[in-house]
Amino acid sequence: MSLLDRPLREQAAAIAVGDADPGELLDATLERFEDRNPALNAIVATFPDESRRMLAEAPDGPLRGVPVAIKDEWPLPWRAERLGAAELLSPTHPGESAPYRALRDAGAVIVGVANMHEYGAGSTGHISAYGPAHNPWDTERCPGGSSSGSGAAVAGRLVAGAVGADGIGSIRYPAAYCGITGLKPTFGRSAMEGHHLPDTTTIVSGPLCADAADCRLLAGVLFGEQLSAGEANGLRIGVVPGAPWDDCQPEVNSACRAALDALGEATSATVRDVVIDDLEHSLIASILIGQTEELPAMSPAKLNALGEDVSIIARALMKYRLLVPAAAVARAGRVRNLVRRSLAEAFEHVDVIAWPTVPAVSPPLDNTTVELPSGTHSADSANARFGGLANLAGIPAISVPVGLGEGGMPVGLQLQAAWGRDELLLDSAEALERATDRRHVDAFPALAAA
Amino acid sequence: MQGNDGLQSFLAGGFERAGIEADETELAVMAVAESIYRPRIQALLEADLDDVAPEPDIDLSQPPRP
Repeated sequence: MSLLDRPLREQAAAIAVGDADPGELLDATLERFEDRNPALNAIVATFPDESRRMLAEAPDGPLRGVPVAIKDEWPLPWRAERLGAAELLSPTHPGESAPYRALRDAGAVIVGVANMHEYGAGSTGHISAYGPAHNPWDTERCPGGSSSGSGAAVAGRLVAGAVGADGIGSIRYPAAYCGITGLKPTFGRSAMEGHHLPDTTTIVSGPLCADAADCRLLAGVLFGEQLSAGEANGLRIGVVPGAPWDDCQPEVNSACRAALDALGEATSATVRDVVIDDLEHSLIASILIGQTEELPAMSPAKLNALGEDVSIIARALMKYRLLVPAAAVARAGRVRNLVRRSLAEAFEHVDVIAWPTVPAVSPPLDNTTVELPSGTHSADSANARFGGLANLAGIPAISVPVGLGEGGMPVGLQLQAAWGRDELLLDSAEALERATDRRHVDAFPALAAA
Repeated sequence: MQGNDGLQSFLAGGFERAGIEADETELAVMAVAESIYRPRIQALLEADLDDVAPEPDIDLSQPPRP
């Protein structure tokens, strides 16, 4: 097996002990881009000279010489972020964002910028100024968004790790759609400086990798601290009865239930129902808060100037945001207060709260609706019901691959924990991997096994 | 709920007052968004949240203060 197909931590270890030449690994990565990226459109910019400069100057950190990709959401010293969009409401500039500095200081080599859903405003990844990214499991299907290229690049084994961003599930959706692991850290814990929304209350940077151990390594780099590993024995698992489990595709429900059973057995867990107050309003509250954080950058003149190279959906929805009632946004803040208190109470009785990451597997790129027991929904509105809570409350959440559903597409289980308990989520995810003999995290899509 | 024609007239009027240009295609996209989100926004506006205390100086990296 090529070193490119090995986990991030094994690449780092091989370089550290001299078993691998990082220059050769970089060249092999760029060759793999040429080979596989045309089918995935996961990587939208490469800069071999800058990558080689990073390698030449790499300090002896935990990722020394290891290739990684970063979402088109942060500036690099040689490239401004473009947010997957043809036009931006505010100018962006090259610079040293905090995720860039964290990667550089860890010795990592940034080998490419990863595609993303236009403006980060979608859970599918099927709209981008660069063209859609494609799911390595089926290139006619969505990779998930908004960190679409990060998910597709890791699942396609273009890189072993990528940095994404999660505002309303934007790391966890592509992780679930692409059969990899994605961590949405506790708000404020991961590197964010340099983001185009400096006062966001919902968005965090985070890792997308094949498994939890690699997420732990990359998250530690983004957090600026080593994340210790522990055992998730005696786990107290909370399950919210109702829609989060019932309004899913049957294969999604059954795969997640089976994974939960396996996790419970492996950790001698107890499982109990939990109730979260006002969960029914948390979806719209997370959308209202997340979608109005960009309003300070919007003006009639800027919106009127958007041309046809911006998608009709983005143009329309950005304008639509200006008609959201202010009272609704204010009340969304109250829902946030209520949900946070309710979650704090729930986490006195359970360690993690589990439900599917998304209710349906990845839809086709040309029809992004999903069929659920409750009817036909846009993937965006269906997914936000499952992903928005963690951003609204600030808690960490992780998506772990747990099987295949309709069309042989991956299914993800989401675990959410109390503020600051990111390590517990990683421990739980690793316990789940062991309980399922790693068959889901080690599964390669056919494209990556070629 | 208003029919699409009425809704689009309402949206168009609102945008005209705000100085924002929106063509018919954009208004049609907004009508779809409105059909998805308006019921939820309306439910939020009607929800009883009177007893919910705000979190002054909210710190989203931490649980709410008692």
